[in-house]
Amino acid sequence: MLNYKLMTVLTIVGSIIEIILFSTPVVFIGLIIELFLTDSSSPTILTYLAYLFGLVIFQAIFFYFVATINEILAHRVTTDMTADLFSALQSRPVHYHDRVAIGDIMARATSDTRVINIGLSPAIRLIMQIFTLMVYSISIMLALNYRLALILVITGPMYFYSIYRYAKKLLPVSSEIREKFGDLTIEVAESIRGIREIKSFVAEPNIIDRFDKISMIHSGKVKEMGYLSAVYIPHLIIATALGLTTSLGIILMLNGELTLPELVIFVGLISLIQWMSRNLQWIAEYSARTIASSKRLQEMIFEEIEHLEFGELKYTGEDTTIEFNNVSFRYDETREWALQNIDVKINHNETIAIVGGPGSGKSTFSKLILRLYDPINGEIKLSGQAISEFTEKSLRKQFSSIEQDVFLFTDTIANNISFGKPDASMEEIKQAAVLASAEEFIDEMEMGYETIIGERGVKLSGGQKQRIAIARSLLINPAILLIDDASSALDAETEQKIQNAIKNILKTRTSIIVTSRLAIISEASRVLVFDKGKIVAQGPHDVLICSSPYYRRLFESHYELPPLVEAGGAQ
Amino acid sequence: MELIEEKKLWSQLWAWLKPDKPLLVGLMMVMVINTVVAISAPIFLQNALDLLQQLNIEASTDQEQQIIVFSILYTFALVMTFFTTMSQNLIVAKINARFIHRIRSDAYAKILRNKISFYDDSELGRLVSRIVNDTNELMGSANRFANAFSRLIILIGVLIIMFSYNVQLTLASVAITPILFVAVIMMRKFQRRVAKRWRKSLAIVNGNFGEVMSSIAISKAFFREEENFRKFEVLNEETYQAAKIRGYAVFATGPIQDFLKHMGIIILLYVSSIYVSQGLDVTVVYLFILLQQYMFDPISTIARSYNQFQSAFAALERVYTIMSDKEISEPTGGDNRSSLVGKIEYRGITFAYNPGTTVLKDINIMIEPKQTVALVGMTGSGKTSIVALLMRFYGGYKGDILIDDDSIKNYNIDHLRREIGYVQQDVLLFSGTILDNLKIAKPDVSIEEIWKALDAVYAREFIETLPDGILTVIKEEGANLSQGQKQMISLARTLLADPKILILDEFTSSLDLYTEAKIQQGIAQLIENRTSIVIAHRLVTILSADKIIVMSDGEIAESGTHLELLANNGKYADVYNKYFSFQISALKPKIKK
Repeated sequence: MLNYKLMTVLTIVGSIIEIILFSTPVVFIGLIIELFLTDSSSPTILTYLAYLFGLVIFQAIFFYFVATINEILAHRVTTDMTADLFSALQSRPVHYHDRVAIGDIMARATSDTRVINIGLSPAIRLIMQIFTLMVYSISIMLALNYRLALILVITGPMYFYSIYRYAKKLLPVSSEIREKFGDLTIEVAESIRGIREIKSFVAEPNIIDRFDKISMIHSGKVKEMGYLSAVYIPHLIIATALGLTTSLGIILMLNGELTLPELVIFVGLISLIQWMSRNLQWIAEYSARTIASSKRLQEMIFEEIEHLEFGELKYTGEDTTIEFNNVSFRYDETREWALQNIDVKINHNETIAIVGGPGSGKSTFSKLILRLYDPINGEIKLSGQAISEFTEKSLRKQFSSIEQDVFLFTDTIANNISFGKPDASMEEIKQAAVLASAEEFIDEMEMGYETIIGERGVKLSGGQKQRIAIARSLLINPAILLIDDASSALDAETEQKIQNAIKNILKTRTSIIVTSRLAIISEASRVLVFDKGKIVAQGPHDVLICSSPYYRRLFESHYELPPLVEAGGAQ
Repeated sequence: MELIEEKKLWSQLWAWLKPDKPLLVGLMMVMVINTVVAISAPIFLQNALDLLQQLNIEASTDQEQQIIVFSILYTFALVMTFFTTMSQNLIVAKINARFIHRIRSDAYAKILRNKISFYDDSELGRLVSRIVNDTNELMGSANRFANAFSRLIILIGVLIIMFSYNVQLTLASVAITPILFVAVIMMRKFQRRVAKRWRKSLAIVNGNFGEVMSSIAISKAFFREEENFRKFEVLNEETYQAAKIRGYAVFATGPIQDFLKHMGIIILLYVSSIYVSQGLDVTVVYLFILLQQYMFDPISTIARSYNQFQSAFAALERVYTIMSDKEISEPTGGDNRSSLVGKIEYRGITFAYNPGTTVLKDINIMIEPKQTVALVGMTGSGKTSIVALLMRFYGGYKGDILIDDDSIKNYNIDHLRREIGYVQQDVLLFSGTILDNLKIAKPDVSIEEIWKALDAVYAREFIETLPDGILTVIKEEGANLSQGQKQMISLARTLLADPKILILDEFTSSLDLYTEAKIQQGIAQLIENRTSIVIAHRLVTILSADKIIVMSDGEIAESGTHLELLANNGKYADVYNKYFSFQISALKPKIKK
């Protein structure tokens, strides 16, 4: 494979030669016209035509060569950029991804790379060629008649300046158009997703109104862009230059200082510049956008991110005691404390249930255990050592979490289950599925474990997804398992299956489970009740239900409770 | 049949263009002027040069002046061409923007009136693309069409001038053009094929990128980064290869066009050389060389546009089919009833979304005014279908549904839906403020009424803690609100609409217990004084119903009050004993007899 540098040199030198080849027929036309005037039956005419024929074939082949090398270079660059972006992003900690919107990432990975691609090939090449043609034309004119060249010498810089000005004016409008177009797409997607709701409120007129307004803004911007590109001053400059050069040439001819063939060559060259600048409108825009897009991409690839420091110790998972010593945490300075002065010890192989409302700090608690963040104050210990002493890889091997919002990949069920252990045998996979109460619905599928699921595959119900996720975690057999099971969007029978699956896995390891299912809570040796970043009560369910008013409130509307015991409790 | 369809399409297109008729007439005039001005430039030049040639024989100041006048005219024509082209493009820009807005909003308004079954059958992304991208493609093609059309006029002008000067040279000039025309069209076709492969490959690699990035936490938890990158690299390199092949095809056009154009000049020069030796004026040859340039450009533009028009027409067709099909648009007409009592009756309803797979079998339900009925059953047992039919989201069922003893088909569909509040698990919130979202139900509502509704569903507390209160802007898909908060807004919205009949469809299923406890109070407010159908899994909701209907495989397995059903010892009792009894020691005070 040709390397970057060689391809770049080939592209630059090649396109300069190519544009000169491209303009040479003009000179031949001049020469042949001269012969027409002086010796119209000369056999030299045919010789010239033969040369010209050879030249244009060569030009076409050379052009193809340069253009494809340029294109390959551009794709090489953007392909590598995309890969760089991918690996840079993948190495970022989870808290970075919590902060950065996926839409933003995808915009850079897809549209910015595409813009750079078009910018590198052919936009920048064409700009270079027009510039070369300008310089080349001026040189020929200077050689033939310096006075005629003067007009181009003066208008040339004006021409390029006006292109620059144009691109600068166009850029904000074109990005606004893209933005408004995005708004339009979002609006339509939102409405269609909620079509049942719209129809039940008979809100169609309202929705059409909203759409009309956005559409109006978008088409207004499109019009603005159309107006801008209609008044394209570089065209005026080059047309004026052509007219003036020709007129001046004719006056020089009157004085016998210039011949017709020379004039033909001048007019021909400037016409070529004029002809090439038709495309300059979008080329100018793309060149400017390329610079902006490269900046955006570089920014994301090289952004400095605060990484967590990991130690050298290997965590084996033999002792899973977790201690929180006066731990406080907030996501950033401007926000409130997510956790405050947490003191708790989770014993080896204990099952802990976590209960609390939204914003109570319960998910932050899990994130700290997983070491996605470090506490601002206080310390977290794992088997008696500060958690930061362990290597990242060994921690990850022993910790596993099952999120409520289960993400499955577009792949087979088997591959989704063996996600954390790609070399797992089919036996192991099936065993995990059985433990997760998933084997029944998998077997019912026509393709069984080879069924493709995920976004572009078979859609699974929430309960089925959850069970696949449980199987996936079980397969890697972690020492500590965190389960987020706060919602309960399931019908009674499915619910029971999930409960069984969860109970199966609780037994053999340290488990921390966020849940409101009583059946599961009753399995836990302790319940931690979170409210506003603090643990407001802890203890077994039976004790809490009699002692903690806050805990009672959660269940009050659903269950008849035993009487509240005023004294005692873990408040 | 197809011909009629096409005719309809054209007449629709004309209907969209018609309001801009004056602009279109103006555009035509400007195009003609533009052509005249543009072609006159080389003619002025030829005249000046011709006079110059004669000047060598017998000089006079009069002729010199004439030459200078012609060269000034030439310059003037060049500059004028800029201005005529500019006016032409300004008019096109204006028409284009108006045209596209008109199509888009017209199409959208009609598509929104399509039946739910239409939405069920269409993939979201594709449908959005129909409405947004296809209409946008028309915009690009409106531009191109104007451009191609103006070039066509120029081409005709050039041919007229050429023929009037010299027939042989004209033929020599146009000799290459058919090949150029065909070559461009064929190249385009070929390119589209390779480009398709590349685009597909690009879509796959982008899909992979997105999937990995949005699931990064899982990859990290299962230490899959290296494997991810390896997989990505393979796809990324595949795309690179496809891009290379596409490049080979796409960048062949330029060289081939260049070559054919140059061949055109060579042929012209060769033929000219024969006639010049027989005494043809050299300046005429030069004029043809200049005019030939005006000709090549239109030919390749028109040829290039040919395929683009095809795809634009296809886009138009796609939009047109989904906006004009009577089969898929909702019925209009029917009566408005001033005040509903709220009695609902399902009479022998049998229904299938697709022929062959019956989802409801002979459903008979009677709901008295202000009664609350709970629908219970496993996912897929037909609960949602029952309420969807009441909303008239679907037709084509056997039997009849009556509200206040009159078939729902006799009601005006909008009126009917206004009388029914349908609250679902997935809440739709639009980008805009909370207030905007509440107003969707009732655009002219007063602020007092809104707060009253918010209070009724216990939403005041959280709204007041938001920095901008009720004017807080909701982010895309309500990202800055919790599920519970969204549902409170949805409840308030329904309360504002003040429907006679209320449907709650698995409304609290995705909430945590804490939030649900809060929302239950709001729901109680809503159910009061309305006929309600509640689909739920939570026992507490079910127990508060006047009647429980147990669905199984599209049939009513049993129905009655909680106690009756327990006494029945059927499916309900079975589920209750297995699961619900687990939840409670006793919920008896809640049980309605």
